[in-house]
Amino acid sequence: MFGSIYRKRVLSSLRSKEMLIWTWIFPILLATLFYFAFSKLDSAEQWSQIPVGIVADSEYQKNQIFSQVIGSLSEEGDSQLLLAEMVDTLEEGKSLLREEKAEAVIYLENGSPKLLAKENSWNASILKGVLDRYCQTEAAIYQLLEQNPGNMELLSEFLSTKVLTKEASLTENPPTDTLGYYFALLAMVCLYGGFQGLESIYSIQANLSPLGARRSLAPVKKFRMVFVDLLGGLTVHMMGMAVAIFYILCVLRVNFGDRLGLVLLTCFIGSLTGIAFGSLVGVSARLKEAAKTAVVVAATLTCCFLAGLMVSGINYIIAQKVPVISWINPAARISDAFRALYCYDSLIPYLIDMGVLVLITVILFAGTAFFLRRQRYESI
Amino acid sequence: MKVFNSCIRIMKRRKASFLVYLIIFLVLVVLMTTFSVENYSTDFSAQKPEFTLINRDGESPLINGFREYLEGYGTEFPLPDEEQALQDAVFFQASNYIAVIPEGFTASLFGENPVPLQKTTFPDSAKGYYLDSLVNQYWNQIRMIHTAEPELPEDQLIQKTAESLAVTAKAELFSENETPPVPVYYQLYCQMQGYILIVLVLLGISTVLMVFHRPYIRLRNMCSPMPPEKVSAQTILYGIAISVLAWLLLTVFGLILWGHTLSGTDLRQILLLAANSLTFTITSAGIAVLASCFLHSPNIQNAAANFLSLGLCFLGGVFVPLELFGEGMIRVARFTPTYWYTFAVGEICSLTGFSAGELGPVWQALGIQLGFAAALFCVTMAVQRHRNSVEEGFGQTRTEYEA
Repeated sequence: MFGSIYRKRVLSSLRSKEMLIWTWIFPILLATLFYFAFSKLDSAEQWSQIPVGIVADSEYQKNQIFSQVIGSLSEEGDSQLLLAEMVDTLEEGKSLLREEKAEAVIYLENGSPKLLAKENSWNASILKGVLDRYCQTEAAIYQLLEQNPGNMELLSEFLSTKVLTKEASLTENPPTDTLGYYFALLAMVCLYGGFQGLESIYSIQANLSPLGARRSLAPVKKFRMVFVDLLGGLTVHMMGMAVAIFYILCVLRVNFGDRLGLVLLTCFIGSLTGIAFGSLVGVSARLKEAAKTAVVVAATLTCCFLAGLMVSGINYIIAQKVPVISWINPAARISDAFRALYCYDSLIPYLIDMGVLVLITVILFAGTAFFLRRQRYESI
Repeated sequence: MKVFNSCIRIMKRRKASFLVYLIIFLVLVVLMTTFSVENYSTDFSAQKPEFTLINRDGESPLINGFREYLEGYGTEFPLPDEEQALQDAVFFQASNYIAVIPEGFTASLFGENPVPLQKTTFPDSAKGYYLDSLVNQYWNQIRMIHTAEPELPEDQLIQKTAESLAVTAKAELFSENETPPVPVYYQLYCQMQGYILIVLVLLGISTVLMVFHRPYIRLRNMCSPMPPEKVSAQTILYGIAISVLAWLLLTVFGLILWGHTLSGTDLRQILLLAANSLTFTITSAGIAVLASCFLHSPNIQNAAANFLSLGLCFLGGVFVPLELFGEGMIRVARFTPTYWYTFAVGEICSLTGFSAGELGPVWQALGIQLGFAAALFCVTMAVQRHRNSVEEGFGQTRTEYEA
């Protein structure tokens, strides 16, 4: 009997177009979309040469130190900061801003450098920092020369600045902005296991479908029937998950770290949580099928939003400010588990996430069992 | 108005799921708007990145002075000196620059080979570059002053460094804006409104059309005394009603939520934003009508609504700003109505005047959205015509009994 129920459940799930769309096609399409949409996301945050207009008027020509500084910052090479375009007047510089050919204009006014920025951006702040440094160094040198006139040895020592910082990496794998979206996407696919849970309960409960009414007469204990049915649903869901993971890792070549076995385990437990959630929603007799589907979709989307599906980093803000919501949100736990595998050497944070997920799953299944047990129907 | 009334009755039956979506999506849009917003200023103000200082060298006036200096340029994001907490902060970019002051740093500072500060930033990030240059400037300035006056006591050295670093260049923003800008909150709300509009209009229209597309109902309607044109007209009327209702609901909701920030904004900009969302509603209706031809069950309908809305919004720059897309991606995005919707929101909010030249890109974006709508309606008509002309068109879908 076990084999028969299991086989038929797997077959019916595989033949269901709805399931196919939700758990097989939907994640693949969305992952493809992420891949193309976010291909430049990491590099967008990186610094690059800043297009800037330099007003090379008579004042600029006279101030040789300043023009040398600008020249050295515009020199081609690894440390080039400015993509300078020389203009004769400030008006011409403003035209560059209007035409979006420059992010800012640098000019001299009464001997002091001045910045005219198009907007409050990071690049404008970097430029302001450069000009500040110039002003500060210039002021310090004048002060030094006032105190120690003619001490050229001290001056050269003065100008020899050192790099006093050294890059240190905290994680084995490089941090990236895009991975969070994939983690949240996989969390969403896991929770879409809720459709399998809904389907199982719908086809078992006599008060929900004609199929359920017929099956409740079958000579099989209800617990066994529910268990085997959900197992069949989980099998098909895991097939979809495996395809999605294979596609993301092997076709899109997204790097999830090197703990693939644990990634699959996370998907397995996450899918169980999804199925348990769907089962609990499914046992409600008051809601119609469409409303139950809406509840599963809306709840999953909300959980995934809070896990960073639409706004990157929101899960971290919530974990910092409202940790309770983060801990009880299964999508956040799944996404966090993937991140723990990617970032940490230690498995303890991962195991904590898994523990919380298992606990949520047990509570959801217990709720389902409570509503399913000892049901008798006066009329159907 | 029998058909129209039937449409309303069908919608009423599905009101529970529709309401679930409405409430959840409104909450999502508000949250997304709140979390995505960045401060806006009309004066130049340097960006304030978040930094973390981990001091392993013990408290000293030098370190305190350094912390005070950095606080002037950024916001300190305190973290415990624990590897996991630091890793989390780097991964989520919660702290743009983590500076670990190693043991012996201050003792070696004025020597030939000072122990370097350990910095961790998001690889090659502009924020990291900015903070790193500030950090180096501070310590080099201290070394410089110490070189000039080696006998200076530590507290005076710090004070003198602070004074020398207080010298700054003048900066201002280039602004030719005649009108106060649209508040960022409202702009983001308008942008996110595109997401919820697609979902609501698609669900609202397809819920009814799915029923009307069922073969038995189609066959029954075709032999009813009501002419097909009348059936179509009333169905279209329902489509218009539900779309306008969704648009009105969201527009009023936005005005209630962010209206208090709009006091200085030009009314024409608000009206243009409303016109843009109305145009997008028409395009969404076009998407909904076409998608309804291929939807047969609530599950597929939900999947389609989610995929189309999420897909189009990710691709069109609703969630992730268009500036972060690559050139190739932008070229692809131009083939989506959401791109033109987002583009129009950006253009309207950055309007500096209302001359024909300045409004040109806005009208162009609105026109393209209408073009999308027209194309979608034409394709739908072609699909329907084909379906009505072949026998299979009546046998492919699930019957009312089965559904």
